[in-house]
Amino acid sequence: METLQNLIFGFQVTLQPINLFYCLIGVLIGTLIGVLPGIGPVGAMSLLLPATFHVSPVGAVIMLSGIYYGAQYGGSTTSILVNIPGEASSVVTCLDGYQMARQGRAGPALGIAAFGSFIAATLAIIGLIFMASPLSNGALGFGPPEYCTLMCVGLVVLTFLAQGSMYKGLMMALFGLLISYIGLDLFNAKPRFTFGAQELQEGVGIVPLVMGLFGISEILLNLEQPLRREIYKAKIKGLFPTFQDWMDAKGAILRGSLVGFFLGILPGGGAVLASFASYAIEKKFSKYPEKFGTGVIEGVAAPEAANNAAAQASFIPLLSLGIPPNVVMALLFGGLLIHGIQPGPLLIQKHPDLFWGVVASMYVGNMMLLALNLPLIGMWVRVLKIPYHLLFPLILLLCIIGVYSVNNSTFDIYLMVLFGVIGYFMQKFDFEPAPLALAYVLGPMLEVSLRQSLIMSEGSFLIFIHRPIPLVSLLLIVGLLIAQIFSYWRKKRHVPGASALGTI
Amino acid sequence: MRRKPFLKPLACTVLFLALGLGGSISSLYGEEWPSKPIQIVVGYSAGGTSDLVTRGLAEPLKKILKVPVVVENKPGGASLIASGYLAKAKPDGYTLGQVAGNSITERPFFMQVPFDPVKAFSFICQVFDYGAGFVVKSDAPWKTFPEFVEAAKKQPGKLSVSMSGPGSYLQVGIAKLERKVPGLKLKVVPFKGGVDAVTALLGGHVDSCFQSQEWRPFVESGKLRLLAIGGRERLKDYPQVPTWLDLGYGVFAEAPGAYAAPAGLPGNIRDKLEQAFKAAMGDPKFKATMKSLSLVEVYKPGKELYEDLMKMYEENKTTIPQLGITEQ
Amino acid sequence: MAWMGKPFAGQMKNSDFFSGLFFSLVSMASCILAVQLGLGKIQKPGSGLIPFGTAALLSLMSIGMVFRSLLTAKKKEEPQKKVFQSTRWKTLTLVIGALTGYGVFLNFLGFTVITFLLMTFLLRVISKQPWWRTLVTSMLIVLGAYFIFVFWLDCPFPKGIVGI
Repeated sequence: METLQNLIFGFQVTLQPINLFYCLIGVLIGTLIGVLPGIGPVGAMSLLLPATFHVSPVGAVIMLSGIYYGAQYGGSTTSILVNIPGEASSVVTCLDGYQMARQGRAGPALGIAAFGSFIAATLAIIGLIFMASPLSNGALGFGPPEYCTLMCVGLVVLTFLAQGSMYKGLMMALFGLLISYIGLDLFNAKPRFTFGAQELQEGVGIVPLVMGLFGISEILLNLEQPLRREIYKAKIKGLFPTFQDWMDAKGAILRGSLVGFFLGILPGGGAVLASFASYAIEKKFSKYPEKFGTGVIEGVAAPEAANNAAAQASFIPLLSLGIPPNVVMALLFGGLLIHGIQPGPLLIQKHPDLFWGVVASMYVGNMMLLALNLPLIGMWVRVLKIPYHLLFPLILLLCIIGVYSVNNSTFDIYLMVLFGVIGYFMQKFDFEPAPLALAYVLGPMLEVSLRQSLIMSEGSFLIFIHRPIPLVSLLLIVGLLIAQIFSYWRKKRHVPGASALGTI
Repeated sequence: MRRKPFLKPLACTVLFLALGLGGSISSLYGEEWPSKPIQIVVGYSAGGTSDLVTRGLAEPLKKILKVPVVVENKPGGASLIASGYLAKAKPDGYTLGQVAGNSITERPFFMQVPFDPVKAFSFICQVFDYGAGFVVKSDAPWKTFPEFVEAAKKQPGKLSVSMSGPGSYLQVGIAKLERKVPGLKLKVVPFKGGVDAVTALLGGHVDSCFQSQEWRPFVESGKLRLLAIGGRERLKDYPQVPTWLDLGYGVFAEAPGAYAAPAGLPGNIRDKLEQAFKAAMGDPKFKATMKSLSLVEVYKPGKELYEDLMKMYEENKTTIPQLGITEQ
Repeated sequence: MAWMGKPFAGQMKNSDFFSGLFFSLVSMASCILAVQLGLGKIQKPGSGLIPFGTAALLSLMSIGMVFRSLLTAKKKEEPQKKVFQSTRWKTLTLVIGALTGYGVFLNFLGFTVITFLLMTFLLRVISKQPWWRTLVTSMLIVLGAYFIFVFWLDCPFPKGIVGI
């Protein structure tokens, strides 16, 4: 049981008071950063990177990691409370989480998010310990063709998310794809759809898009109610998840963890994909799919479990291969480099204290986060009790600060307002913002990997069939579509008037 | 009638504004440079090598110049956004920036750049070079670069090479090489970042990779094999690996990492900065950072750097359109 | 129309005509822009090929929506709720204007001042709070924001001509 010995060693490293201290600071800052929309973990980590120069390597990595997964916990808080996703992977949490908050059930939503995240992280850490090596090698096997088909699967799954008409959901997804093309073409540096604006050369940016589409438009919609009307039901129905909630959510948490863990290993977009894949799975296998989107606890538990499992899993490629799977991990990578540590295949051998210390600290950190977030639930619920006409300027300000702090650019503020207006009108006409935002995230990866694959295969589409993973993905897509159409015909046969029903 | 207590908030507001005015007036009095914090803008996000080098410099610079030196990240557009910001800043010696040499020598031929490559900057000095290494997997059949070239010539357009793009010096380098070596045609697969390009090689999805330094840990651990260096000089850590010039191809691909101020910076301030940077580069902690980042330390005074950049710029003006890579 | 409605049965309202129209226009314009970028061949896509495909699909769907709304509207006699019945146009414009104005004047006036003005405006004009409550709340919010973001987190917000 060499692994057990290593683990004990790791805990010895982590439980040193100084490292515990760094862990605590990390998760505290991470939570705060996650709660403040816009200033994501990247911003926080970069603010603290200079500070980590003066700290031991183990301590630095523990702190930076703490910030990373702490932010995941915090990000769900704003998604639930004010419908503003802290990160792309929290978008799906808004769907049901915010509705639960409106119904006075913010407490249970936050609670199940916290507990679900903790359970998912624990499971993911166990997975990390035992499966790091084979999994990361598997992740390497994902090249452009694999990504391309995976994104296609994602797009299909995305449309299942729509609560209303799937047709409109698909239109939103396509629209999201179009918006994602804005910027410089990777292959020949030609500006696309930028209308000459220098600021658009990098594209629209996920933060202005999401803040506008979800945050601003929600406020604009809410302002239509007479000002004294409750946006959030004042009667709070309990602070913690009930037994019934737990019964309902337990499956969602487990399935979400599984999905999140495996997808999180994939560099780039794994967490986002995991969040809505797990949601779609829950919806598909639920006895009451039409209730998803109105405030169903599984709709919060699944994506939260998924994105936390993914956050932990994304350490795997970094620690075992030296490949940072996303911007945040790249920052961590930099932090390690400063201390003269090369993450890579030799990391475990050369710096076992670092590797196992970090693994153990993940567990400790998650425990700290749970202990931190649960009491805060009472506080958050209290915040929601502030009358909306005093609350909304605060929310608007947070949105503005969040969006501005990404690039220090007022252009982003204008973009956010624009998307707020678009989102407002969209929702007036019964279109949902979630598929748009999610397609926006998937779009670039899909297009880039498609074109890369075609370069690799010199124009042949057979590359997608000759390799195992794309082939499986394509078959999966076909299978999903067939299953969808099949379930329609069944519905139609049982209920003759089914064509008048909206939901899928 | 209820007396509306507005005096207190009114007084607060007035006090507020007064403080603010006072604060701004004091900064109007000119003092000898440097008298307030200096900002260095970096076009990449925190934690990246470009950022870490700058932070490594900021520490000793603070000690030398005796004012705080703050690093600000403005990522995006392959550092072009930051360079654009720098070009528009006041040339008072308080706003500096890291400028990649190939923002001047290569990128303007691929895309619109938010500054005039010839006139926008007053260069302080070069501090490092990003380097360019040509790597393959260690179990690949080619043990030397000429072997790879021969294999590629036998199957034109079949062997693939990954790199970060678009419009990068890496892309231009490969294209120039193809032009010089008759019969050499490689499949160029661009990726959105160096890490992705190297990962693709590790996963066996491409045959080779031409990238700045993201391959280092893998060459060190033996997973990848370094076949050649694109720059002008060999790497100290791999003295046995030849450069393209050594191999007689007559091309090189280099990417100087330099620091600059907006054009119009008074000459004496520029000279003071050059001296300060040179001294900072001698700081032992900085040297250690550079070593751990696997970047090539190169010091070149600003004037010389500018001349070299302009020479390459003029050359590329005619060469790059001939390479046929600006349009897909 | 049942055959067309089956897999995509949505609750079609009259409003779909307008939204369909909007999307049709946007997607068709995108198609044109995409073609201008160069389509290339399907084996070697140009910059515009995939955007064109996406936009074309969206156009088809939007045009389909327009037609369906025209055809089904005549059949269904449900009282259609007007989409903008509950919209308060004045509030909407004011809020959007205020947010845009924030962006315009942020660099000129500086973070502290413009935030104070925005909060005051929102609280006074939109929420119709009495003056004293407006000013006190705005001050508190600005001080809090300053403390958290400028002082503690070191966010580089613009200082404006006033210098705060």
